[in-house]
Order: sequence, then structure tokens, then C-alpha cells
Amino acid sequence: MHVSLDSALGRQRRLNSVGESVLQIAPSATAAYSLRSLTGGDPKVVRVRRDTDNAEQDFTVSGVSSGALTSFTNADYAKYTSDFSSGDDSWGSFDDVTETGNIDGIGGLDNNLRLAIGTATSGHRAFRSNIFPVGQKINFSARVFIPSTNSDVDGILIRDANNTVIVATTAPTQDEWVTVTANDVTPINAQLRVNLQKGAVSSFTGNGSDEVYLREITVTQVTSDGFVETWYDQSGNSNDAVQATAGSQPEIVNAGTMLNELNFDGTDDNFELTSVLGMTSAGAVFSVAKSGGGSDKLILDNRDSGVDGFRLLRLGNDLEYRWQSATVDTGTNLGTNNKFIGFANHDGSNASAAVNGATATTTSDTSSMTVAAKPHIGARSFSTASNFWDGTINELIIYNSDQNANRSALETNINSHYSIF
Amino acid sequence: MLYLIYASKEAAIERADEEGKELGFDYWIEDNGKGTRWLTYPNETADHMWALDVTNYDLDESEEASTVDHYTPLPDPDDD
Repeated sequence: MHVSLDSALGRQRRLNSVGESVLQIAPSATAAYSLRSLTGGDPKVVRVRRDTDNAEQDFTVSGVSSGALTSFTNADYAKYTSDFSSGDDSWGSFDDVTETGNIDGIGGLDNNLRLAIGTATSGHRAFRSNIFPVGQKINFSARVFIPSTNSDVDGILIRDANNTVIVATTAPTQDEWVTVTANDVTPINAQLRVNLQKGAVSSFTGNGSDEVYLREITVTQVTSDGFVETWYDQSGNSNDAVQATAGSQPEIVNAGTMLNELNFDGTDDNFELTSVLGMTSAGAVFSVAKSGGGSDKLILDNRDSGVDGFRLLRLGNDLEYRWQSATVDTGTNLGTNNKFIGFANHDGSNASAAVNGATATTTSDTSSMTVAAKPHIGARSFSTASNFWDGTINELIIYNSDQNANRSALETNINSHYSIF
Repeated sequence: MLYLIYASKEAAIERADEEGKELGFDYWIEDNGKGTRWLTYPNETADHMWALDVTNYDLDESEEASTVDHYTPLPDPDDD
């Protein structure tokens, strides 16, 4: 046990025991949110929506750390599968190419797309819009047939509309269907373009007769973004933080990469808690966050009007804690994209706050509150949501009681996990 | 951004619900009141109408003709 003499005397815990969880150090949390276990077990922590098909799934701490959440988000998704059985499947063309669907009897197969060249001296391109997920990795596959009757066109080049190469110049064997593929390519434009080529050159004078056939074109998205619909409360009070609007959900997986934190976009991302906190004359908040900048940006708001309640926010450059009309400016510049531990506390007589274990700034205050509104994480909790947090939040632990006595032990626990200071 | 303006919050939410169903959000599939329900949620305007961001909605012709590209939000209440 690493418990100080102060703790042994029952006054103040300086250090937490090895392996002790946050809620073992200070069990009476009103609400507690994190991606790590605050209980010592393997609690449910997030419900995630993947952007490809909007499917959702709950994950425990081990589901997050094992990669199961990332795998769920990045499940293969059929972004596009061509179907030329009744037409050109919304393909178009530039330059002098003419595209025609539902062409039968090519290499023994029906329902093909024909790209026929004209007579222009230019590039010769066909395209399909809205085929690629921009910024996400894809696997690509298509079958190509080039007839030996062609006198000029002997190959193709497949790119997106920003010239990202999907399939480099290739001259397939003629008179048979040849499959071309690409894996883990990241398009930066949603439109696919096919260049007809002559001797690996895209710009030449068309002969007005050559043709290329395509079929079975598939785009499989292999990475995605993941967003948090619910941040589950680990306190045992089921006061989950929920965001039912897709456009306002913080991100947890970006383009296939697990962030290991919740990223709030500063525009509209926020959560509403399921129920009120019921805080009156004392309370405490421990937070782990990173600010992307800005001023008057809320980490946590528990107010039902401009004057009733408390909030923890970045105002100017500093972390600030406001309890009713009392203002505690920590005087600590949060900077930009620096992870920090924020501490805010009201013991009934004083409001205090600090960053990264520093000596707390304290203001005398004996006011109490009765807040009827549900708190918001990352935005204002009354009227219309606003003052959105721009940055990340890893952890938020809320007590309806004074936690000065547990502050050191809790911050040690938090810092041991995040290595912030 | 494109917005549709509604006279009531309920009407705006009804349209948001319709889009949420169309997109197959979990709230509508699981039928248990859990999960994502909307793509966007309406905001109150200065003249107490409700603006719904429909930029990424699948709009019909009538809706397309009714969109506006901005609105005046409800003023912020006094903050301390």
C-alpha cells in the first residue's frame, strides 16, 4: 500500500494504492466517463456509430483496448458495385468517349459497359461520380476487356478526379477479361475516371473505332470514421451522456485510426446527460482534455440559466471554474492541443480550481444551486446548445461532494494513466 | 449550408425523423429508443421558427425549392 500518513490519519490521501481504480479511491462519483476502467472491472464505456452504414455497437474497456472497436468501425463496406444490366449505371464521359451499358456477348459475358473512342485529339475519359469515400482507404477491383480489333487503344489508367492513381497504366491481354485491382488506396476525390490509353499515353488522336469494355467494378471501403452516440456512465448511476444527432457526435475513430479520446469539433459536437446531477452546495469535477483553442468553450455545463449552476470552461486562454456568481480563474494557459488534468471543487465555503496538480486558486463562496436542466458535456446546457468545446476529452468524473481530500490521490491515478505532468 | 424553416419544432423533428429512418439509423432499426435518431436537429430562429440543416438530406423538388442558405438564430441569453 502506498498510502500516506495523512491518509492513515483520515485527513487526506496523497497517493492511491497500486492498482486501485478511481472509483475505489473515491467511490461516491455522481457520474464518471472515460475510455479506461474507472471501476477496476471491464465496464461498458461507449456506443459507437460507424459512418459507412450507420451501424452501432456497445464496447467495454477491453473492447476499446483490444481493437474490437476499431475493427467494427473499419468493417469492409461495399461502397460501389457496378450494374450495367439496364444501362450505363450513371457513368458519363469527357472528351470524345461514348459510354453505353447493357452490352452483351463480350468475351462470353453479358451486361457490360462499352467505352467507345471518338476522333478528338485529346484525352479520352469516362467517369462515375460519387464512387469513392474521400479520405478513406479503399480496395478496388474491375474486369477489363480490350478487343484485338483495336488498332490504337491498348490500355487504361484509372484515377480519381484529383489524379490520385487507383490503377496505374495497364495494358491487359487482349480478347479476354482481365481483373485489375488496387488495395489500400486513399482517394481524395469522389469521382472515378478511366483514361483510354495508346501505348501508355492518354492524349492522342482517336481513331473513331476502338473500344474498351468494363464490368464488375467494385469499390470496397476498408476504413471509416467512428462516432460516439453514448458515453456510458461508470459511476453506477446510469447517467449516460448521449447524442442522438449524428452530426453532433464526437469522433473516436478517424479514417480508420483509433483516437483513444473523444474529439469534439467545436461546431456542434456535445452530449446531454440522461438526468440532472442534483448538485447543491458542494461538488467536484476531474477532467482530462485537450483544447484546440478559442474562448468561452465549455467542457462541462450544469446550468439552467446564466446564473444558476456551475460550468468548467476555457475562457481566454485559461481554465476557469464558475460556481453560481463565483469565478475561479486558474491563471493557467491551456495552450493548444496540450492534454491537461482540470480540477474544480466546491466545498460549501470555497470554490477552487487548478490545472495539472498545481496549487488551487480559491475564491470564497457559500452559494448553493438547484439546477433543473440536464448537464451538457462540450456545450451550454440551457437555451440552445452553444459555446462548443473544440478539442478532445478523455475523462470526466463528477462528484456531488467536496473532493479536496481525494484530489491528490485521484490526480495521481489519472496522471499515472495519461502521463501528463 | 441549406436549411428548411418550419413553423413548429414538432414539424421540423418529423422531417428529421423521416431522414433518420431513410438513413437507417439505429434508433429506428432496434426499436428500443436507443441509438442515433437524427442526422441533424432543428434550431430555433430569432423569429421563433425552427431551422433544420438539410444540407445532406435527400430532398424532394418541393423541399429543394423551399431551402434557404442562412437563418438568424435565437439570440444568446444573458450569460454571467
